[in-house]
Amino acid sequence: MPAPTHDYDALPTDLRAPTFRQELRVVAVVLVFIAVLEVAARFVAPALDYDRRHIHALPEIVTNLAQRAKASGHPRVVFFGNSLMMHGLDEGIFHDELQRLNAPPMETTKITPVGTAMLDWVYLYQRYFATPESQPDVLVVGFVAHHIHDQEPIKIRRLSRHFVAPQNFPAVWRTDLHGFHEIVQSALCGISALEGDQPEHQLILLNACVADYQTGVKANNRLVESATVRKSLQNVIAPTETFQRMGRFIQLCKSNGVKIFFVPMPQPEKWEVNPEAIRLTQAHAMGFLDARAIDGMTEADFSDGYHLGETGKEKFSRWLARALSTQSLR
Amino acid sequence: MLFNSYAFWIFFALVWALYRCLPHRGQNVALLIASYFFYGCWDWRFLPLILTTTAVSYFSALGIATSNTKQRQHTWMVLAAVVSLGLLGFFKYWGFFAESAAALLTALGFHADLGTLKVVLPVGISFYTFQTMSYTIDVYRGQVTPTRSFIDYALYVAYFPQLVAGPIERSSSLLPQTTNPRIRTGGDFSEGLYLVLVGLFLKVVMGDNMGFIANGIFGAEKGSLTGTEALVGIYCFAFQIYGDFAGYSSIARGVSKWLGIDLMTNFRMPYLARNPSEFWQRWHISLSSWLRDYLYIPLGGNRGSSTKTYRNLMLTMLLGGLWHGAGWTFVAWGALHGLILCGYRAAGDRFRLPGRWGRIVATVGFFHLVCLAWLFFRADSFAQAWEMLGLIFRHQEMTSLARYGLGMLVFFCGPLMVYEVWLDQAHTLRRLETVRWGWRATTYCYLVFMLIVFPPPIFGQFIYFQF
Repeated sequence: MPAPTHDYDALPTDLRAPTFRQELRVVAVVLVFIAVLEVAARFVAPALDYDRRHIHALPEIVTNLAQRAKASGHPRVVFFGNSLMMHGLDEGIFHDELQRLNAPPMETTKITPVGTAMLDWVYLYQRYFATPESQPDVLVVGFVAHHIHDQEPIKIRRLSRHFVAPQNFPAVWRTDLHGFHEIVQSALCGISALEGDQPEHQLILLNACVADYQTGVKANNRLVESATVRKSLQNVIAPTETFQRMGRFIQLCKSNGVKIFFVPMPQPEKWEVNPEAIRLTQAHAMGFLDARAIDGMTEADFSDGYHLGETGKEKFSRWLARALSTQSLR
Repeated sequence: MLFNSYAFWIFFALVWALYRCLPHRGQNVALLIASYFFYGCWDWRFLPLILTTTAVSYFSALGIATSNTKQRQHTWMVLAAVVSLGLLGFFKYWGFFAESAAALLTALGFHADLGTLKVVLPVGISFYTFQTMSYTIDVYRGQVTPTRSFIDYALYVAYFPQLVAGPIERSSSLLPQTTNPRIRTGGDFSEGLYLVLVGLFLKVVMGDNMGFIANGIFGAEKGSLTGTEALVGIYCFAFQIYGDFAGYSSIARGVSKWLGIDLMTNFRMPYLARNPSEFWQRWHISLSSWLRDYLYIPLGGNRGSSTKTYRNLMLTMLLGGLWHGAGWTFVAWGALHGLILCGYRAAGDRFRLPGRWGRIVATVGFFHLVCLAWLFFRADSFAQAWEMLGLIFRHQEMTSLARYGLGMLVFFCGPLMVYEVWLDQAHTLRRLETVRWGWRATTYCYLVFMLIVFPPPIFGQFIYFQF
């Protein structure tokens, strides 16, 4: 017997679709639900992970440094960067080495939000070092190749939520974001924790619900990246690296009388710094402390093939103390 | 201007606000301008192309209607077909046929340089070409009276919700809706809202997240995958293409509903199909019904001998495959579906499995046949498809990538499949509109939550735009 045919698009004959007025109740519930989610996202934001705790503590860190420096009269040094500097530098060891060397003391702090790059640093600096009292004397910026060039992809959500000050949004939209979609997303992230912290919410939930999420997603990312690289090798020439963001960062610090020391960070294999970046630092009389090949540093000093482990941290911290102690900081 | 972009929704809000203030004729003019603007946003250089196709089919239809001999009608019909298919053939298939012919001649020992051109594929050309062809054929067959209003007809061809990825509307359904004043019903808003939210979920949450995994696995270097990973990659692609295309169709229907125009249903829970015949009544319905009415039946359908029926099925599916893309893997996809249909026709209902478990086994089994065809559709080459197929049978190993992929499938697609089974039991796509409003609100809250928290890592294009 043939199967009965059904009109899948029709409602059962005794029923009618909800009217506009009836459906407004549903819309109202959804809007209230979004509002509740937003409140919850704002509530949990400072405690989402150690990185968020660090970012939410930045105003306090900056104020604390200014107060300590005012009390002691020592130069203010901010170790700036991302997880490379965060894992790579131990401030206790750094000061211990300074003391051992009888070098002049300094007041230091670390500002190292994870996964940041040059554009994040431009806006982070503008947001958290906005007043003359908060300005450091020296910024020590740790990086590897891709962190400083303009071709590094922008993490719009993170940038807009945590690093751009409200008054700087027009500048981001004008200068750094291209396309209407990106600008709207940036604006939404600026006003909404639900949007701005979305990647962290997603990560926490998928970690809890999907077996092997982190290892699986890393494996998948590697496959996608290597396929992209293979295709780009076949089809197009890699774009030339440019350094306008770095130029803006240097100008910004220079106009506030801040000296920058750029520190290419150690990696298991020595890597090339783009000569254009070195020329830029030299043109503005900024320092360049090359940590790519520290004596005695081996592959075993890295915890995961990228970040420094405990032994590497000690070697790098002492090396940096020695390198900075020979520099004029004011 | 993608349906999942902010720009589209601002564009739509402006169009809708203007549209509601205008009388019927003004609405059509406004929709036509909006549609050309929408198309021009992809690439304004293709506007003359769609205008040419529109004008040729419009005047051909009028020519057919006013011709007093069959010969003249035939001439007009051929003119329309040659122009439409000529443009489609040049923009979509020239490179493919030239390369294939050159490869064949080289294999036969001749030196051949057929001068392949790097032609940019105009977005949606396959969709609007089929739509204009169906109009001229229907007029030629005397099934449709041609419209005298160029604006109404141009709107039928270029109507923006369905312009670039369907559904491929028939003139008998869409044209009367553009010609006559809109009839608004009380349920338009709620139905539109449902279709848009489900469509966005399908595209953004399911399609794009599955696409990210499928892209990784299909992009892997030779020899770096296990069979389990390959299988997971195929499953992910099956749900990517479903989410992507059904999502687009659903959003198109939803926004059109808000404009007071009904578009046809393009998908009806396709992965719950138990046999190929049922699958093609559920998957890309507007294309499969087009191929049935304008190709399979004119070829003779199932009216002749068995051999002729199999030939007609194979030809229809091969051309269906070629419609999807200019590549041999697409042809293989069509051929596989043709073989599955022929096999099903030969076997008839002799192997029907009884009872609920029989239905479940048939559904799961047929889903795997569909996945086998998707493997050829998605693979970059036959070599890749064969390698992945071999791995599935030779090298099963549960890795962290496979576990992650399966977990993501369950997390993103599991709830949708449960929902589709619930719909299928009631034989209606609109069951959610019939339940208490609190349940609907809860479902929408889930959809909105997923849309906000689980967008894909990479902002996704719609796959079907390339067809």
